[in-house]
Amino acid sequence: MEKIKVLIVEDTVAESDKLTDTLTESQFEIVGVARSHQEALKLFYGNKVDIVVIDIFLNGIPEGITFAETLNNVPESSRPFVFLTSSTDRSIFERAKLTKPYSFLLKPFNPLEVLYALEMAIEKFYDQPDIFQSEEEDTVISSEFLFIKKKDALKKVAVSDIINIEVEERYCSIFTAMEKFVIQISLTKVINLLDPAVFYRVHRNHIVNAREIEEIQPSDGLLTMSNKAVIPISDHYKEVLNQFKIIK
Amino acid sequence: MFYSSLVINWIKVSLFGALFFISFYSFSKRDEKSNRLLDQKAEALTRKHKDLIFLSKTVGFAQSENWDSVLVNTQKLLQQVKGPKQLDFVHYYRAEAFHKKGIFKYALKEFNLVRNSFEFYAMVRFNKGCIFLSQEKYNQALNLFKSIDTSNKQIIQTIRIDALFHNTGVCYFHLGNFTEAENYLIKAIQKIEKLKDYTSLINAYTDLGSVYYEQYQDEKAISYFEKAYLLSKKYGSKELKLSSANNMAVVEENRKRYDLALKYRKEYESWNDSLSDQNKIYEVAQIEKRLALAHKQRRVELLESENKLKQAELNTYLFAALLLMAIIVFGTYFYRQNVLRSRVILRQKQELDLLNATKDQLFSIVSHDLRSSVHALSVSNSKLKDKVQKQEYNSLENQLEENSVIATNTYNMLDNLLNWALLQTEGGYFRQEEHRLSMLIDQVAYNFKGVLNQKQITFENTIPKSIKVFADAESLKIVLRNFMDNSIKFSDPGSEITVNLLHENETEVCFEWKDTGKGMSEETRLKLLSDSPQLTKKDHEKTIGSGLGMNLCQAMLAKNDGKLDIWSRQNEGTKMIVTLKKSSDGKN
Repeated sequence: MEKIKVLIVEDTVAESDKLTDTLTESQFEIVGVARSHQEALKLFYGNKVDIVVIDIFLNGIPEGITFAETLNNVPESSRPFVFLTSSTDRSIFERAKLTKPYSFLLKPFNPLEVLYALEMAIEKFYDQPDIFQSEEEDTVISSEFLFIKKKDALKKVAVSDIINIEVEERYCSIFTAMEKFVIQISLTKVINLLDPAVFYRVHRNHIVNAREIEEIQPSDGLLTMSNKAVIPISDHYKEVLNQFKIIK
Repeated sequence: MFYSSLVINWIKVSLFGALFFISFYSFSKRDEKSNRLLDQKAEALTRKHKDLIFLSKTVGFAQSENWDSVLVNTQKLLQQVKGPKQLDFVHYYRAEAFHKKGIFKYALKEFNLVRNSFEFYAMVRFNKGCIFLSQEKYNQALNLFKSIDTSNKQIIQTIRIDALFHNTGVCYFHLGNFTEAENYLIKAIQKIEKLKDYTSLINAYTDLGSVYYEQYQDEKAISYFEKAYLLSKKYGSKELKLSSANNMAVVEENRKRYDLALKYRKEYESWNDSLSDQNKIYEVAQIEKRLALAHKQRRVELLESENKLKQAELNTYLFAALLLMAIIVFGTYFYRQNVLRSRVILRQKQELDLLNATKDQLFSIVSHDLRSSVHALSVSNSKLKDKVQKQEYNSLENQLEENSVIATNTYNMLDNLLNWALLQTEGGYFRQEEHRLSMLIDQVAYNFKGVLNQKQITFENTIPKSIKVFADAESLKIVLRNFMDNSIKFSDPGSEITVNLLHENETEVCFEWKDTGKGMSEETRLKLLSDSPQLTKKDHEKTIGSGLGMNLCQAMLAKNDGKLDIWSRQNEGTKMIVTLKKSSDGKN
């Protein structure tokens, strides 16, 4: 699992320091702190950023809103963001709202509030609301990453790193080359959200990454994955194998 | 006087070069028997049909010989009346009116429209004959006259038989049939002699004389002329006297009895003069009449213009009165409006005054609290400084903790003040969404961790994670922050604060914020719950509050469609009971 990469756009050093501390403590990785619109753009395009925290007022003018607009206008690189503000002034809020902010973070904030705001932003951005606070699920799936909440910290796993997934009750065990971990999510949701051209269900309890299959043994109904894991293929899902052949 | 027609025809007797006056009856007078009969019938008809008012009017006008009115009325009748019998009467009256006015063409037209079966058709024929006679269409006239059946008694009643005979005779005379002319005229004279209608008799004698004279039966002729002359001298009008004298003069001249002729001629001249005098007098009278009329007209015009002037004056007065009325009405209206407006303004002013008073009180309390807080901070800071100088590091931590508590309290107070101001101006951002209540409570409690530790108060949030409320997160957090603040303020070290779910149903969530602190009196409780913006000083001397916090909580919860209730016992504790909506309820 990797840390989630955060870009902070905040002109006040004290505030950005506090935010950096809070976020670092909450297991986030700060890719940079921008002091202005220009810097923010440079840092945003120069790094792989998962989420942006933007102060509405940069150097006294609501430049943060302008930056948010830029983020929205580039669909390829569009990312969730959180507005940071000390004012509940309605006019500013109304203006900021036009940029479809994913959440607001009101100064002064505490770590719980920061985490909550970031979680909300991710949930709303990927349109999978009310995941991280619920007791039933803990993972938001985007096309690139799984965002997983582990013990009050938010982590991510690249979808391409996943080799296979095994389902057990309400949990899914995710296997990557390096590690194995358990997330709380329903299997149907996983199937729906993952790319169907890459991930296949081969058994009622197993999903595999087609690119990580090393060996198919049709006679035994077994697959050998790149991490040497052996996955059974059930009769019910055998047609899937035909597809593999066509692909290969 | 029965016989009207004084239309005088000048007949030239070419043989002698002398002039005779030949006369006939052209139309019957209104008071004649036959006409009375007609009028009576028409009246009877009117009585039968109520809608024929115009016909009765017509009869009235005809009797008073107001022919123009007769024409107007019959014109109206023509559009109204549909029955052929009534139409006969209408056409008859119209024809009569045209005839009297001398418009023969139209009179004939109207007479032609009368049906043959009309009970007064004899009158129609007779009158038509008279018209032709006056137009010198003797054949046509004769035909009409002869077509009247003189043996029928009923028909005879409707016309004057003597007049018919006379006119027939005249026709024959003009057509040169002297024998028939003589016959009819003698018949006529016989009838007239019985009636003693001298004018007609004179005319008849003259006409008969002319007949004989034309046949050169001078003796007979002269005897009739003389008869006419003698009668006219006694009974005749000037015109008759004139014509009879003229006739006598002509015949005597022809008999070469010049002296007599001269005498008659002179008589004729004198009558002529008298007549022309009369005419002159008449003319003068006419002129005078015209002058008088013009004078009258001028008077009338004067009066009219005066009237107009008066009318104009009246109009002016009326206009002025209306204007005045309008001004009064508008004035009253605007006055009322003004009164209403000022009443509204007064009420608003009272409200404003109350609000202003509240605001002033608020500011005085806040500035007092603020001042004492900041003062306490500075005192604490100087103590800290002292201790650092004296190097008493052991008690430093306590001092610092005290400092941070004062700072936090002051900050909270300022925050409330800001939120209160935003609420008053409706300037705050407000967006209701589904939030997990437990999460929000945790977020608020996080900031109080230090204070809770310091005062050794335990805090427990037992709200299940699954409970969601529909609220604006920031405003709800303000409420929770104030609850926490108050609970900490009024709790002794070692006590506890718990948040419990009381109950939930499909639409609402109800939870309590419970502390085991000092509690409050019933009076304070009610004051806190009341809607009035009146701010309260709290019971506990040390912990002065403005009541602003609770006021803010009430307002914020109300804005979130929530409810607040307070349970409190002194020295037992306080429960803040909050009910919130679970979903948008179709809002948003």
